[in-house]
Amino acid sequence: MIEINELLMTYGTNEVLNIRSLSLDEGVSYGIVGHNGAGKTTLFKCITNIIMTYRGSIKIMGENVKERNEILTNVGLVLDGMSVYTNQTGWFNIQYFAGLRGDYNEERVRQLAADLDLYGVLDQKVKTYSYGMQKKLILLIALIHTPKILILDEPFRGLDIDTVRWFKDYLKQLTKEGLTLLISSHVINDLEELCDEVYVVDRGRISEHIDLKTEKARQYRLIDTTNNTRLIEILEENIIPFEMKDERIKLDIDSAKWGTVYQQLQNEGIEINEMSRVKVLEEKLN
Amino acid sequence: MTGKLIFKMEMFKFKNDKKYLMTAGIIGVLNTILALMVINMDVMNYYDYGMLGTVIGFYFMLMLGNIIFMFFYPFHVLSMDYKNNVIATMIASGVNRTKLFVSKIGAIIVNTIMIGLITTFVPFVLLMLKATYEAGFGIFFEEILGFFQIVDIDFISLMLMGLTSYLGMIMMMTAASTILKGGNLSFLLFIGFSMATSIATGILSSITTAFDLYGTGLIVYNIFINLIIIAVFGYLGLSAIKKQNL
Repeated sequence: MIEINELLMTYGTNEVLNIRSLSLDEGVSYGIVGHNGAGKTTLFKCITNIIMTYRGSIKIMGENVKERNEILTNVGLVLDGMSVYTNQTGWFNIQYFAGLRGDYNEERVRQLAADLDLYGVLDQKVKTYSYGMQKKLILLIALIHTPKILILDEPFRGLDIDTVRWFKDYLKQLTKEGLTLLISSHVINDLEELCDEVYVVDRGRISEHIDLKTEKARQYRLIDTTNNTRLIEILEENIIPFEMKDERIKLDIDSAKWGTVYQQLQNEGIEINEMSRVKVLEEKLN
Repeated sequence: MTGKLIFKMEMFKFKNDKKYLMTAGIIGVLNTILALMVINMDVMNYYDYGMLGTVIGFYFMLMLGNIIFMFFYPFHVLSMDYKNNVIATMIASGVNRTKLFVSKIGAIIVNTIMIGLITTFVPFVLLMLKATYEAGFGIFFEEILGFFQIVDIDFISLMLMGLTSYLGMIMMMTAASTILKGGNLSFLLFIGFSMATSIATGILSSITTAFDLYGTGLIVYNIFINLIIIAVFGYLGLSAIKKQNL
């Protein structure tokens, strides 16, 4: 669905993106994560031709986007900082952007507006909208034409709980129907709920690929006891791998093995000061 | 997404730009009032200096207003998408940059003509009625055509020169506005372009002397120069928008 090859984007001498190869399949939901400034939004902007001064190639449905911009009519995009005509009404903006694609369907617009709880304010000028309402309007515009690919940059930020719930359900339904989803978020629960795979972007490069179907449930334990030295000996005796993390012992083991270790600790009168469970995914994303 | 569709939506935007349409309407009314004053000049008391001063002052203010508005409007249309940061949304929706550029120029030309009609149509008709009222319609136009014959100028060539000159100006505005992404300094860049063009055409004017061009020949030469201006600034604007990060 989306093929990226040798993508290089620089601002002066500063390398912002450097992706050798990235292939995103149809009907799969991808999370794109990374720290602020890692290059996630730049990647989205390159895919949607907002940024043109990159080297390499980006193909959507087999077409090079730089050469055939029209292929983007199959894409819906919501970026933070995206805007519409704020001196015009919501209706004007909907009619304008849907009209550009030539597929204005008023019935669908009314339905989406009602779902997003936006219908009552569409006659008002956008400059009177709150941040969340403006975001809902941009979301609505991105959804009108039933895109085949949906690119969302921090889509839930600024939205109320009911809208987030509705939107997540709607996205799940669309992905079942074959939508390819690219979503950037710092909220791990959102990614776990919506994505099949996650790509970690670090300083412009894809540093890790995580298959959420296998990694989602994995957790490790961080343990601090009254006698950590003895705990380490017990682990070595039982050939259980561990590592030290912030003066605590990090264990990536299942419940059965942990039961054995715990029993031994109890027998030797070693008490647990602190034990927390951390998702493997969370660690990888932080 | 066709260029026709983009043009259609540009026109849709024009129809909904109520603030500017209202301003054009107000200027149109003021122009009509001025035209009525001009028509009634013969019954005016020229010794009433207060009244005369008011009319002259009103005339110059209104002319200035018309010129500012006619210049400002294309800039407003061009910079609106950049200033609202909407152009990124448009491009991401699949709008082809070249088609957007061409459609926008087409829409500016049509819109400016419409704005021109709103502001000047009624006063023009009133003044024409006055001009043809005494001498008669036929004689009035015969006199105008006679004037063109005397100065050896082909009327159609003159119209073409006006049109190409206007298109050249629009291209300069578009290039300036595109290069500076609709920023407020676009107007200064446009003035810079105009000055550079004046210097270049000044240097080239030696051609007219060398070939002893006058009348229609001079007009054809100017049309040719205008076409070069259209091509150069059209290329500059198009190159800028095609490479621009939004």
